[in-house]
Amino acid sequence: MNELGLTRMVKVEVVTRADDADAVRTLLHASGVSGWTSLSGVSGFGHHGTHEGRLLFNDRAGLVMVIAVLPPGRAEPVVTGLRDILAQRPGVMFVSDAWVSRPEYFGADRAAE
Amino acid sequence: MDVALVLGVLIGPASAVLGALVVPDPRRAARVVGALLGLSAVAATALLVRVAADPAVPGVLVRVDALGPAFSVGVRVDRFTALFVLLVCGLAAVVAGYARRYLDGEPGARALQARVAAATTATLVMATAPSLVQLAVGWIAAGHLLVGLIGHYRDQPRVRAAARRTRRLFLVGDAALVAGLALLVTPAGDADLDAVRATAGARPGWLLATAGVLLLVAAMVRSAQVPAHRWLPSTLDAPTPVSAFLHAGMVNVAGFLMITLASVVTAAPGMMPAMVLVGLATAVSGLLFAAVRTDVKGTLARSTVAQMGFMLAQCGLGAFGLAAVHLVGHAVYKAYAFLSAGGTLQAQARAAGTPRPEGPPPTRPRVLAAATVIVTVLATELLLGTTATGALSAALVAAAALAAVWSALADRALPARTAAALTVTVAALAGGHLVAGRAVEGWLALPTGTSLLGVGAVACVLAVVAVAGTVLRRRPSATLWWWAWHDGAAIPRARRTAPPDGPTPAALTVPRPGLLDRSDGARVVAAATAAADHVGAVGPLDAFVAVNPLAGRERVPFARATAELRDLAGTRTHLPAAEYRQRLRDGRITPADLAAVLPPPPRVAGAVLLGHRRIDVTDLQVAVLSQPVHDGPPPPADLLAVARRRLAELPARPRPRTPGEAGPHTLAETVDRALGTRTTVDVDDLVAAWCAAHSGRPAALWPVPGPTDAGCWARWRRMAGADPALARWGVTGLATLVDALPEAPEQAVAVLLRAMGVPPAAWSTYLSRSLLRLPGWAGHARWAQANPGQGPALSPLDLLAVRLTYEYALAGAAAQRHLELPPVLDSIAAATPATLPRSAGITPEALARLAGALDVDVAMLACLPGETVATLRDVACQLTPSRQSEVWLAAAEHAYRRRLRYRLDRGADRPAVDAPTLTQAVFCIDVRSEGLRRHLEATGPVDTYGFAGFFGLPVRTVTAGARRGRDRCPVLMRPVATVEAARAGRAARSRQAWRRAYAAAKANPVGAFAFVEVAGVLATAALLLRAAAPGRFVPPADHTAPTVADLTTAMSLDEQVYYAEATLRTIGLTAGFAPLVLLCGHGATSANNPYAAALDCGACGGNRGGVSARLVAGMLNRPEVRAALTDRGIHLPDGTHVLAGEHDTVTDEVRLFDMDAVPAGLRPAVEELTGRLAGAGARLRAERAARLPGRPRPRRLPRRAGDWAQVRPEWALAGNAAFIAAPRELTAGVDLGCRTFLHSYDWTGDRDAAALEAIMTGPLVVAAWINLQYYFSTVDPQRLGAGTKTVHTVLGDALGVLSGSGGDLRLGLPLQSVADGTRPAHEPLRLLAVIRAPHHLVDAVLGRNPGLRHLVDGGWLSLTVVDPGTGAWSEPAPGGSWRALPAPRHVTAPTTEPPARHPAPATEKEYTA
Repeated sequence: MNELGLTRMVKVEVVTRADDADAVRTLLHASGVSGWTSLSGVSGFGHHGTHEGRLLFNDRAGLVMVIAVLPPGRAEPVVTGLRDILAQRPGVMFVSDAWVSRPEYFGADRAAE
Repeated sequence: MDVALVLGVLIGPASAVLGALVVPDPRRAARVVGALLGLSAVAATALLVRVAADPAVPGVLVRVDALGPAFSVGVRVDRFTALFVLLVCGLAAVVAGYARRYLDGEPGARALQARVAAATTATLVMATAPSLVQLAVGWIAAGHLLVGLIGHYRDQPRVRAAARRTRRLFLVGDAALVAGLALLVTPAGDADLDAVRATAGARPGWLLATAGVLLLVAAMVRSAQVPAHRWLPSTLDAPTPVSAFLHAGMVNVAGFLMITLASVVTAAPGMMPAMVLVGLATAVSGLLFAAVRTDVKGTLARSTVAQMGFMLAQCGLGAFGLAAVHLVGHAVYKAYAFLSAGGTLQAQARAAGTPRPEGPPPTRPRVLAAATVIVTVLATELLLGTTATGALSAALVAAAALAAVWSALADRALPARTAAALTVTVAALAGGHLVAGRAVEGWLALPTGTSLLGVGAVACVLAVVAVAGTVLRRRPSATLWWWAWHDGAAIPRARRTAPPDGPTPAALTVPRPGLLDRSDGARVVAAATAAADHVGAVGPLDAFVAVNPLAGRERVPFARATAELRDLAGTRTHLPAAEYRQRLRDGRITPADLAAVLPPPPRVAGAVLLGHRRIDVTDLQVAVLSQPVHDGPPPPADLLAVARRRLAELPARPRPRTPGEAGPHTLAETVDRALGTRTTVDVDDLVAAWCAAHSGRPAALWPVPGPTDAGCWARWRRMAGADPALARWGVTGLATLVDALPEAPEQAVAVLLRAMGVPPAAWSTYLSRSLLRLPGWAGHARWAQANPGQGPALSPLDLLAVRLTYEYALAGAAAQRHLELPPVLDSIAAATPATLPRSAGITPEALARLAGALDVDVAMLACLPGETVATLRDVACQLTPSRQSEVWLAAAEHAYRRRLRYRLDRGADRPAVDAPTLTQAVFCIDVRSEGLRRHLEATGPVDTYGFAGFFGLPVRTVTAGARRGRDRCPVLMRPVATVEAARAGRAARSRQAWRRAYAAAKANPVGAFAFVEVAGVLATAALLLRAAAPGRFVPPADHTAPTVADLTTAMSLDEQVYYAEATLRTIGLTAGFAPLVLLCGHGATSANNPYAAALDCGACGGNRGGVSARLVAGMLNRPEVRAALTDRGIHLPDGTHVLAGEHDTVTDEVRLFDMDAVPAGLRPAVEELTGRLAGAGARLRAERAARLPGRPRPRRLPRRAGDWAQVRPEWALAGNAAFIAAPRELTAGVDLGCRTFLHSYDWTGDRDAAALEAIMTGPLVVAAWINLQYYFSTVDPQRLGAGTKTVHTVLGDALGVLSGSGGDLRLGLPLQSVADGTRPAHEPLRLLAVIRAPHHLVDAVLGRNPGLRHLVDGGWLSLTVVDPGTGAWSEPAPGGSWRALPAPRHVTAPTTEPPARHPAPATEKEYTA
C-alpha cells in the first residue's frame, strides 16, 4: 500500500456491553489515542448467546462497538489494557492492520516522539 | 408572685428532666418534656411582660454566709435577663418538640431529651443568678451537660475524641471563670451580683484587669472565639436538634456573661480593646472558615464563630444593648437555620430547575433599588439621631440590603412588579431593623459607652474584609485557603522540625517515573476499571436513583460477589444469623424452610450416634444453624476442656480461606499492622475532606482554587504542596513528591504502585481495597465519570491518584521514621511481627457449644468415637458464620415464597362486580401502588393495571432557561427527547429573585452580621408557626411541568405513536377501553428531607410521576395519535378519555390533572372516580398507619408531608420482596402487604415474547436494583447505607450528604428508611420474580439477554414461572431445564402479609454493631 501513499496503522475493534464502553474509551484516552468511533445498538451471536440490537426499556444491556486506529507504536499499551479489561467482562477485541492516507490524524507524529 | 413566676420558669425544665427519666414509655416521656418546656416558655413570656413594667425582679431564697464570702441563692431578673430566659426556654421547647419526632424510636432519645432539659435548667439557674456563686455553678453544669450532648453518638470514635477535647477545653474555661469571679468578690466578702457591680468602679485596676482577662478566657472558650473555637464544628456529629440548641442557645452564655458584668469589664483597664481585638479576629476568621465550607451545617457552624466574634466586638465597643439584640437575633435565626438545614437540597433542586437570570443584568432598576435602600437607611438613621454604633449598624444593614437587591434584580426578565415589591420590602426591612434595634436597645437600658475611635476601627476592618473578599475570589491564595479549610488549626513549627515525643520528619522518597513500563498506564486504567466494579454509581441526591451497590459485579454469582466484598472491605453482606434465629423462634421461618435450603452435608455418613440417639447429619446442620455455636456465651469449663482435647486428637483439616487473603493489604494497612498506627483512617479523612472540597465547591463562597475545568487530581496537584497539615504526620517534601508525579492520574498511580512494590498482577485488588475504603466517594467518581459536565469532574483514577499519594506520603513517613525502611510493601511486611495463623477448623468453644446444644455432656463427649467428633467438627466448620447467613437468607426467601404462593393459590377474595367497568386505572408497578389498587378495586367497577410509572415515555423535561433538566425515565434508559416547558417560568422567576435576595444578604461578608438580626425576627415567626402546627407547612407543588403542547414540539407524531403503542401493548390494554382510562403516577410530599427523591417514583428517575402521566395522557388524547393507533390496530374510542393523576404516597391522596379537558359527558364519571379514590386512599392510610412506628392515627398521616422534623414520612419501598408479571386475575383481591411490584402482562398476545422481554430487561431489572439497594442498606446501614439521617449535612449543589463533621459521602438509603430505631424494618430478601407465562417465552427472553441470565443464574434475583394452564410453579434448573416447585402443604402464617417489621429486640446490639 505504500505505493498508494498510505501509511500502515493498527486498527483495534472492541465489541462490549454499553455499560463497559466507557472503560474502553477511558483506556484509549489514557493511552493517547487521538480518536475513535462508537457504534451503538450492535447485534450478533457469540459466547453468551444472541445479542439484540436494542431493548425497549433498557439502553444499557445493548452492545457497543468501539473502533480506534492508532500508530503501531501505541498498540502495545492499548492491547495490554484492553486484554486486562476484557479478562473480567464479556466482549471481544479484534486487532488488524489498516492503511490511512493522513497518518498525522491518528497521532503518528506524537507516537514517534 | 414575681418570684413564683421565675421559679415557675425554672421548675418547668427541672421537671422535664425528671419526666424524661421517669416516664416509662419513651414516646410519652418525650411528649412530657416538650409540654413542660413549652409551659416554661409561656411562663418566661409572662415574666418578660412583667419585667417590661418593672425593670427588676429580685428574689433571694437563701443567703449563705457560712462558706467564706456571703452569697445569695435565688432569682434575679432584669429586662435583659428576662429576654435571655425567654430565648433559652423558647429554643429548648422548640428543640424538644422537634427532637420528639426527629429521634422517634432512637435508643438515646430519652437521654438526649433529659440532657436538653437539664442544660436548660442549668442555663436558667445561671441566667437568673443573684450571685457569682450561683452563676458559676449554672455555667459549669451547663458546660458539662453540653459536652454530654456533643457525645450523644459516643459509639463513634470521632465523637468520643471530640467530647474529650471539648471537656478538657471547658475545664480550662471553667477554671478561668471561677478564678475571675473569685477576684471580683467585694472586699466586704459579698459575692452578690448587685454588690459586685456597684463596687466595680472602686476596685484596683490590676485586679479588675486580671479578673477581666480571666472572664474573657472563659467567654472565649464557651463562645468559640479564636483560637478556642475548634470545639464548635465537632457539635455537628450530634443530632440536628442538639446542633440547633448549642449554636443558638448555649454559645450565647458568654455574651450573657459579658453583658451581665458590663460594669466590671468597662472598668477593667484594657479589657474593651482586648474584646474588640479578639472579637474582630474571630469574626474575620469565622467568615473565612465559613466561606470555604461546602456543606450546609459546616457553613452554619463556622458562621456561628463569626457571629460570636462580632457580638464580642460589639461588647468591646461598649454597645452592650446592640450586642444583646445581636445575640437574640442570631440565636433564633441559627436555630431555624439548623432545624431546616435538611431542606437545602430540595431548595437547590428547585433552584436548578427554574429559569436562570437573564442577562445582561439591567442597570436602571438595580441603581434605583440601591438608591432607595441607601436613602431609606440614611433617612432612618438621621431621624433616629446618629450615634457611632448606630452608624455602624446602619452601614452593615445597608450592605446586606444592597447585596440583596443587587443580586435579586440581576434578572432582566424579572417582572417589574416583583422588582418593585422586592425593593420596597428590603428597604422597609432595613429601616425597620434600625428602628427596632434602637428601640430594643433603649428598652433594655444596658450600659452604652462607645468611642468613636473604636467604632471607626471596626468599620475599617469590616471594610477591608469586604474588599479582601472580592480580591481573594479573583486571586486566591492556596495557603490561606488551606488555613481556612483546617479551621485555622495551627501547625506548630516545632512539630515540623523535631518534637521530642512526636514523629520526626522524614524527607519522602520521590519515585522515578522513568522506571515505568510503557503499558503501565493502560494496565492501571484496566485495574481501576475492575476495582470500580466493586462500588455502585452514586448520583446526586435530588434525583435519587436506586442502584445495586454491586451492579459492577453482577456477572459473578451473588455469593461470590458478596464474599469478595466482605474480604476486601470487611463489609457486612447479610443479616447476622442471630436475627434469623429470632425469626425461627417467631415462626416466620419454619424448620421446613431451613431444611429445604440446607447445603449438602460435608460427610458421607448420613447420621451419627450420640449415646443411644441417632442423629441425622442434616439435624446436626440445623442444630448448628439454630444455636449460636460460633458466637454464643462461653461454654462450661469442663466441657470446653474435653472439647479442646478431642479436637486436638483429630487430624488437621485444610485451613479454610480467611479474610485478607483476597490480595495484598495496602501500604497504609501494612504500616498500621506493623506500628499499631491509624494511618489508613487518616488517609481516609484526608481524601474524603479533599473530595468534599473539590466536588462540593459550587456551594462554597470561596471555593477551592483552581481552573474551573480542572479535574480532582489536577486541582489537588496544584494545591497539595501548600497544605501545611501533613506536618502533623511528620511529612515534609510533599510538594516535591507531587511535582515529580505525572499529570495523568493513571501514570501517577502506576508510578506510586511501582514505588510501593505492588506487583502488576495485584494492582486490581490493591486498587479495589483502596476504593472500598471510601465507597461513597468512589461511587460518586463512577457517576461523575459517566456524566461529564454535570458537576465538578471526578473519576476513580483521580480519586486513586490522590489517595495513593497521601498514602505514600503518610505511610512512607511513618515507615522511614519508625522502621527506617523505605515505603515498600514487602520490606515493611517482612519487618512486621508474624501473627499466628488462624486455627484450622473450629474453636474448642464452638465444639463445646455444639455439644451442649445436642445435650452431650462431658462424659459423653469424652467417649464419643473420633469419627463422630470429626463429623461434629466438620458440620460446624462447614457452617461458618458467613455461610450460615447465606443459608438463613435462602431459608427466609423460601419462607416468603411459600407464603406468597399460598396466598396466590388460595385465590382472590374480590367480590364479583356485575356493573360495567367505570375506569381502567394504570398505576406504577411500585409496591405502594399495590395497596391503592387493591382498595380501589374493592370500591367497585374499576380495573387496575401495573406499568412502569413513566408510562413508557423516556423524556427529559426542562423549564425554559433552567440550569438542569430532569430525566423522567428509569436509570437503565436515556431520554429520547427534551421537552421544554415554554410557558412556565414567570412565577418561578419571581420566587427565585426572592431567594437570591435572601442568599445574597446572607453571603455578604459584612452584611451577614446585620442579616442575622433581621432574619432572626422572621425566623421567630416561622419557628412559632412550625412549632404550633408542624404539619401545616406542606411544600408547594411544582408548577413548572411541561404540557402536551410542549411534547408535541419536542417529539414527532411518529415517535409519539411508537411510544404510545409500545406502552399499551406491553400493558396488554389494546381493546375494550372503558369511558375513563386513568394513568396514575406517584410522588411523595415531604419537607426538610434530603432524601425526598428516594420516596418518589424510581421509574421516573427519582421524580414525581404526575408529569409523565400528564404527558402520556395528553398524548393519548390527541386525535392524531389516536388515528395513527387505530391504523396500527389499537382503537381508542371517541368516548374514552385518558385522565392523568398522581398518588401522593405520604398522604394517600390522588390528585387528578387537567380536569378542564374532561368532556362534559364524563364529568359525573370523574366525580365518582374521585370519590372512590378518596375512599381507597383512606383505607390505605389506615393500613399503612398500622405499619408505622408508634402506630399513629390514620388521619394524622397527611401531616407528615409538611412536618419538618419527620425523618420517616412513609416507609416507601421498605418490605419489597417480589415482582409479579401476570394478569391482574392472579393477584386481584389478595392482600400482598405493599411488598410486591405488580406488572400487567398477558402472554396470549405476546407470541414473540417482545413484551415479556421489555418487562424482564427493564422494569424487572430496575425492581431488582431497588430491591438490592434496600437489601444492602439494611444489612450494613453504616457502610452500604447512609447511616442515620439525624446527623446528615447537605453537601455541594444537591450532590449528597455527609454525616456530621465529615467522612465519606453517604450512599444508599438512610437508616430511618429501613429500620425502626435500631431494628431492621425492611426484611432483606432478594427479589422473587413471578412470571405467568409459558416456559418457552421465558426461555426465549433469557436466551436473548445474557445479562438477565447472569442475574438469574447468579442468584441476584430468584425467578419463578407460573404455568398459565396448570398454575404449577417452577424455577430454572441447571442445563436450561425447569424444576417444579411443590405447592406448600401447610401454612401457619396469617393470610394477609404481615408488616415487614420485626417486633422482638433480641439482637439489637449485634445488628447495630
